[in-house]
Amino acid sequence: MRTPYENLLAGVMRSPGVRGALVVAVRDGLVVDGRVHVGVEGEAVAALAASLYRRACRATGAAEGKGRFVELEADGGRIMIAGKNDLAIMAVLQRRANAGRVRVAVQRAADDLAAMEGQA
Amino acid sequence: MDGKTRRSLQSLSEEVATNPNSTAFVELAAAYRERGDTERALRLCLRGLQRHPTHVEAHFELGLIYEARGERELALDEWGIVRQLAPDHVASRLVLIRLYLDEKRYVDAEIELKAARELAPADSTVAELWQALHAAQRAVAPGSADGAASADLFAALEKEQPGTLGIMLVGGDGQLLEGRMTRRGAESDRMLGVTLSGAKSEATRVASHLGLGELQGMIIESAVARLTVSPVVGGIVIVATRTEVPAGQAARLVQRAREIAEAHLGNKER
Repeated sequence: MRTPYENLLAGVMRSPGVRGALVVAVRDGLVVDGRVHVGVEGEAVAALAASLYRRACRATGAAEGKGRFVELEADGGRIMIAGKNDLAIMAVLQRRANAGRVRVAVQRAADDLAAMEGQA
Repeated sequence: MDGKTRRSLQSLSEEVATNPNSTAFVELAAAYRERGDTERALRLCLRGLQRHPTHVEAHFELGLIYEARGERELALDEWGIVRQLAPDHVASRLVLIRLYLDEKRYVDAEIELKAARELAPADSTVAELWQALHAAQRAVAPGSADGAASADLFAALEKEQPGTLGIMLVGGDGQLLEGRMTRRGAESDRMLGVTLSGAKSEATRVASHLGLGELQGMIIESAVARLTVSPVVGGIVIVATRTEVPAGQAARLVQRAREIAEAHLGNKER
């Protein structure tokens, strides 16, 4: 089944080393749509990363509607989260992924997501 | 649990054993904790949370178990999650406030108390805790060591790199140790340190839960500024730069700030 987020998620998944891309509702951490490789717990990533994203935004005094980008870097990989309104795009990266390239893809997807939300 | 009929340990155990999806594990874990069997309580709660990762009362109970085991940082993490999942959960705020008062983290206690007062304006415990906070604050002399951090440690590094907004070293307990960040003063710096220290703890848990291994750092970027939070032994280093500073340059700055912080903390230990 095609969803409105198909192209947006595909754009993030295209980068080598990306193991998952998700559109997530920031407020409750629920998955709106996503593509994940086997072994990636999409719902857990969404719930935990959305919570972290909200906390990070609060820490920096973020108001809703202002774009924020949060990146978590660990020994075994990274998680990137970007959003502007109620929805955010998340990417799960392997260690070998080109972080700069994925970052650009995630931020572009976040812009597209915000534009789609604006149209809705 | 007040006001509820307690179920027997046996009945709870049977329910958890026969129905792995049951949320009775929370009550069972509480029963074990109250009996002093925190090991079993911990195992139960962690296993239950694997099936119910957003169960508010389970995170609250897990915090109580950690507290009973003397693992305060982990307890704080759990109650922080409760706060995220259910901002109106008064009980978690009350235990947090007590913990903050015990640790003399009065700024944090005040933030939580304000939130608790909004949620439960008529709660007598909230009123009692306000009194305790005011008494404790009066006892702290102005200009005491609480938060009197030096700005000198990173001053040279900040000058070297244009676009640097500030660098801070924050201790494992969230207290500002060195450096400055905002022009709004030490109080704002302290609050930022405490909040980002909590964010780092949460990031550590997220990385661990998702099997990503040890946390190396976290970047929070807005339209105007980029904040990098890096763990060091005994604390975190927070570096703020303008977003126009290229990411690679910012990463080098962070690396140098970490080295300075680690050397400083190492010297202090010696």
